[in-house]
Amino acid sequence: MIELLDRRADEAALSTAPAKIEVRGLDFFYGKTRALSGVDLSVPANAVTAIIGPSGCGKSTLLRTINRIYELYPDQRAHGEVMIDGRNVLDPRYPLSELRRCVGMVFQKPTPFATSIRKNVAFALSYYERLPKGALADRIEDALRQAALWDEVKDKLDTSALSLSGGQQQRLCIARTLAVRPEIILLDEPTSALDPISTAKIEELIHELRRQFTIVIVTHNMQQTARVSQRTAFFHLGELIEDGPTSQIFTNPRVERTQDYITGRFG
Amino acid sequence: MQQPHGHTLKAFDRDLADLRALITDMGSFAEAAIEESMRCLLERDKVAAEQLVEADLQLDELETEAERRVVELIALRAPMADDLREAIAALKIAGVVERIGDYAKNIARRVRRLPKKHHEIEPLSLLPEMATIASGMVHDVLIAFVDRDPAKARAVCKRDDALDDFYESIFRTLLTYMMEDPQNIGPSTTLLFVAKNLERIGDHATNIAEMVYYAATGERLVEGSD
Repeated sequence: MIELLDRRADEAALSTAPAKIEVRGLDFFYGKTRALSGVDLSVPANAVTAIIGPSGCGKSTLLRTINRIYELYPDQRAHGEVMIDGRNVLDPRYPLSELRRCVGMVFQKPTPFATSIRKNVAFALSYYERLPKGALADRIEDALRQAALWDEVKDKLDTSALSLSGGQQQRLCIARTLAVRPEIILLDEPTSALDPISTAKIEELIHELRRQFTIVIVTHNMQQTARVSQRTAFFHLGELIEDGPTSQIFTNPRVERTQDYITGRFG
Repeated sequence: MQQPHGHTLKAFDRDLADLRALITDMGSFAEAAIEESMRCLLERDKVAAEQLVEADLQLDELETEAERRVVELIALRAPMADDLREAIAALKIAGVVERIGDYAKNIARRVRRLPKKHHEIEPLSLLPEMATIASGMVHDVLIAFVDRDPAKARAVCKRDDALDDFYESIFRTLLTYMMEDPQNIGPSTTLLFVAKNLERIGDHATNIAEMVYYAATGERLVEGSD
């Protein structure tokens, strides 16, 4: 009973908590195609916010905007504001290297570098920080422990990352992201290529990490959204249709389109 | 109330429709049991009353079947939002309808305690009207469930007051009757139990109405609200 009330209190607190990420009036264009229209969304700190919606609704585009990865591609433009701790990261004056350190991203398919497990984690660290050898080893261990991978790889840190299973590779990618001590982690369908056991491990990991980080996850798996997130935002055709506490969205959505989507009546 | 359009997975729609049909069957069974128990009481039909007591087992079986189907629906279809609320409501309603069946069974059990028909007890004539309201509430609340209609559910709740007033009135009448002649105490107490059972059926129909309202709207039905 107490735990239940705690959960309700947590949800209420999240609704009023100051936002870690505040998206305001965000439009996004792929050339002439508008992918996001006037998105306003608050993402609270130390919580998992899930972005759901049918294919092409703008979920991944939103993630790509938060860390400005879209800038790597010509003809992709974002208008509006993405405020992180009160600073607009879309402002070209916002240093990209600072943004990339602050915002880590993990993709649908594991993307380990074709090198050793150790070097995979050390790579980003040595880019951002100059650490003595001992400290570097500690940070690598910390990151692998945080990603719940340490026990499985501690005796083979110098073997190729490509020898790991899919689930282990994905946790390695998360460890690589965690190594530079980001504040925000973006997960773009991180378990869609994994088996149920690996998926459960990643979900448990997300659950643990949310105490320290702000997590935004894009997923097509409705049950996964329900399991891992505290807040859910539903997108359709580039618009934010509804966002709220996950328990409310999944038991009593306010907007009919949200209900149609999560109950499988869409279209 | 308009039904929401169908699911992309048609089998899910069939499962939900089957579940609704099962709950409706249970409701019809309970409704018929209330009416039959009252007929047995009025006609002192002890044989039929005994059969009614035994037939209650079928309602228990239907409840078990409803539970099995809801668990299966949750496990296999992972219902969300209004579908989830409906599945949970169906599970709870099945339990309550089974309880309503027990009340009808209790009424049937009282038949053999009443004196023979030529020793008519005047307040007995008040009970059929009460039974009609109670079984009508059970009937209508299950229509509300099938139609996912919060307005019909709310209307059922309002009728519970009439049943409570009826019970109060029968209680006073029987009390007077018992005070007039101590020989009336036995049969009057029996009738008081019957009236109480009917009043409880009304309370349970009201509970179902609240579940239907929540399943349909996601909001709690606030007493006295319009």
